[in-house]
Amino acid sequence: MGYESAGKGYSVVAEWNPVSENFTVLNEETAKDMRVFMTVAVDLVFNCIREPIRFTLETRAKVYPKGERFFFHSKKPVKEKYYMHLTPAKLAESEQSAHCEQQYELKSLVSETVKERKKALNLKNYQINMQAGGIPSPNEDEEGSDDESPMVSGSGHVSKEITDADLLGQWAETLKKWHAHLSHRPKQVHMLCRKGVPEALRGEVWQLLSGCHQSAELVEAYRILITKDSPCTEAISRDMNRTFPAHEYFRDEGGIGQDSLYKLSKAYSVYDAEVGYCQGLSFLIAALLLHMPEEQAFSVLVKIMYDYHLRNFYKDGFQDLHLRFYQLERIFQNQLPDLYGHFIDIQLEAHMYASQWFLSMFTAKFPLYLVYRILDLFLCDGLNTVFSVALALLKDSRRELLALDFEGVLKFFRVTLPKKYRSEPAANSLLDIANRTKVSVKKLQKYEQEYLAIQAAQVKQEDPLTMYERDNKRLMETNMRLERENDSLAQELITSKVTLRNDLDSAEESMESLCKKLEKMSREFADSEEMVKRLSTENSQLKEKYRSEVCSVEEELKRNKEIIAQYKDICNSMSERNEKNISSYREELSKFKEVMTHCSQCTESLNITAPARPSVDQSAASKDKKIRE
Amino acid sequence: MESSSNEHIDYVFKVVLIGDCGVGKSSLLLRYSDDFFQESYLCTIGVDLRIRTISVDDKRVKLQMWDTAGQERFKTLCGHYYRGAEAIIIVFDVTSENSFSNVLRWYEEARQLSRQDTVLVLLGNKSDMADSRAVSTERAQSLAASLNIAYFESSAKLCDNVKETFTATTRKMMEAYQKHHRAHLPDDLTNSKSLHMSQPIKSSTSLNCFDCSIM
Repeated sequence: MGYESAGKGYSVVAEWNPVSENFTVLNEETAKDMRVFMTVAVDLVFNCIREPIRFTLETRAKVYPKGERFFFHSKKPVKEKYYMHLTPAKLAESEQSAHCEQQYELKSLVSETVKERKKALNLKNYQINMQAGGIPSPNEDEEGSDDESPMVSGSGHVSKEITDADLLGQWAETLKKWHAHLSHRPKQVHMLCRKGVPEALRGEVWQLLSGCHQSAELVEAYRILITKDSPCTEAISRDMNRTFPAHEYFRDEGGIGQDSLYKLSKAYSVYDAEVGYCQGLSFLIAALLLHMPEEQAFSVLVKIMYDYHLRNFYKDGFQDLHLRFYQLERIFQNQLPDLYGHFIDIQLEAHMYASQWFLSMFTAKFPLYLVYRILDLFLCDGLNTVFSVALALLKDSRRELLALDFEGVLKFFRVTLPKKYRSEPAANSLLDIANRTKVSVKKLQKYEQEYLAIQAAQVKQEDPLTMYERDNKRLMETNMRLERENDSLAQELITSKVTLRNDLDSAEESMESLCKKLEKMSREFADSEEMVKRLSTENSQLKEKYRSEVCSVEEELKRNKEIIAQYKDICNSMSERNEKNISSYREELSKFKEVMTHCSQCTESLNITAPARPSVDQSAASKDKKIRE
Repeated sequence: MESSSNEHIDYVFKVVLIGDCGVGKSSLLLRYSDDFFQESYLCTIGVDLRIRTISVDDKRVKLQMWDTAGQERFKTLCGHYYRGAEAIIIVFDVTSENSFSNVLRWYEEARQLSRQDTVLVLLGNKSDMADSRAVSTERAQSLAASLNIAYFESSAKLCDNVKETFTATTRKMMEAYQKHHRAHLPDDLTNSKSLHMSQPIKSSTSLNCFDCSIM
């Protein structure tokens, strides 16, 4: 959209009045057996394009009753891709827009749906022949295109819509019969499978074909198996985001698709420890998972591997696979002698192109429509389908292959062949060829005998000289290699010995010096020990002395205390005596005063001496105080 | 593709890429032959062939490069391609210790099944993922040195050192060829019919390396 389109999206919103007469259809609930289609047309004006361009989008619609509650998380938005073919318009100069140097005219506009539809109808000449200046479209490379990149695995859309109501009726009838007698496959099944199982019924039909209806125990086993550890987890997880990366269910790393694929692959590797996990299996498992839940897919896988014997392909270093390649080449030689001769000329062998066909049951590289059709046939007819399909592929491209050299053929198988079957009619015609290709079981057995005989003869023929010679040569080579290794090891040994010797020498030197140091240190130690001893005796002596000193001091202290106590007693008794004396003096003094009052002369002298008395008191008090102190 | 069908070719060399699952063998070849990279889309079941014609020292060399499945069990199937190879590139993933420790086993296998003059090369891929690197260049180099083979490091994603690795390997193949004086030059190279399988390869060791096990 113009110059500034990078990374931008535009939304166009439209509203309508539902009451308007034209929209009555939208107000009526769509009946079950009715289909309503809705067409939305948007006219867009583009910068640099002269006329507005009308994009129409047609889709199936359903009008639900008023009270409908929508649980449909699976409903996807309708997406459409358009391819526009523009040509530069010749304009008068005056007409040229200011924004745009070049004006374009619309030549054609085709939506992808229309394109696919036309392609399916094999209308090759619709006008979308891109030329320089057109928008490159990813689906442009038609048959014979020289695009070199191979198709991404899991490409192609398979519609669930049933176009042939008659066929559906036949299937419905057959399935009814089948469900009534599960173990008995109705006769019509074979014919119907050859026409291709309707996509909507595939899950159910595949389970019935493989005989899974009786395997409730497998479903149970699966639940236990997914909890167990497998030695193959690393190999399995490496293949997860490269299995059907073109399919949206498996596209996202860690999405539900890859998660189921991982769990199922792991569970099978535990279930069948001998085969474990082999590259190629993941594609088959993915094809099953696109049609049924994990548990059922596991049951069908187990049936395919064991009952259909596909597991033999992966066992014992692909021994059985080599036998199949031989059988294929022999049938190939019978049915297509010219092409077989060409392959012999260019030295192209079956294992170079058929490994991935057989190991993935054709599921790895082809468009899904073809993959499913082949699986319909395989589940119906058994393992020999690999031969009829492989031969049909060779037959269908016989002319192209005859013209190619070694590299060209291999590239054809890798790139061109899968692309060739992108259209359903091409795939259908391939399956018609496969259905017509008869592979007789008797012949296969004959070829098997041949193969075994050739192998035995090879061993015998080689016996004994060549075999021994070969063994001898191989052993000599091994011997030489070992000798070489031995030489280098010996050299390594010598160099390491030398370095070790040097290391040892230096270590010895350092040891000597260390010894000397040690001696010196031990001498010093002894000295210091003696000193410690001396010091400790001194210490004890000092302690003793100190103790006795303390004892004597304590004794002296005691003695002093006693003296003090005695002295206190003395003081006490002295003060008592003193008090007694004082009181006796006072008595005498009072007596004396009394006597003296009677004598006037004495009273006079007493008055003179009276002040002397307090001094006596004072001296007594000071004496008292001194004693107390 | 660089070559047209009647171009003059001096050498046709077969190169086989081996190594653990998911180390990027197919990506390397896709990058080298188609100059294209896809994040983990390619799963090789069995073998796959890629072609590229290059000029090395004024010689036109066509490389037939065989991509092999990495799973252990495919060794019996892919091992048949070793004998016809002029070079075997052992690829490991520098972010995977496991793929590196398996290098020795791949080496043994290759030595045993290849010819004496087959050039062996060690290649560490995914060098762009520096953050999750598990094997240092030094370790890989010392392993290569102990095996007496060349070591390269590349990133198929960033197209780093891919071309250089193949060119150097081609040079080694030319040296090995000259050393062993093998009649390697196709006599009539302008004859487009025989171009795809050069005569000498056919006559000497041949691509028909399957004989020994099937017939």
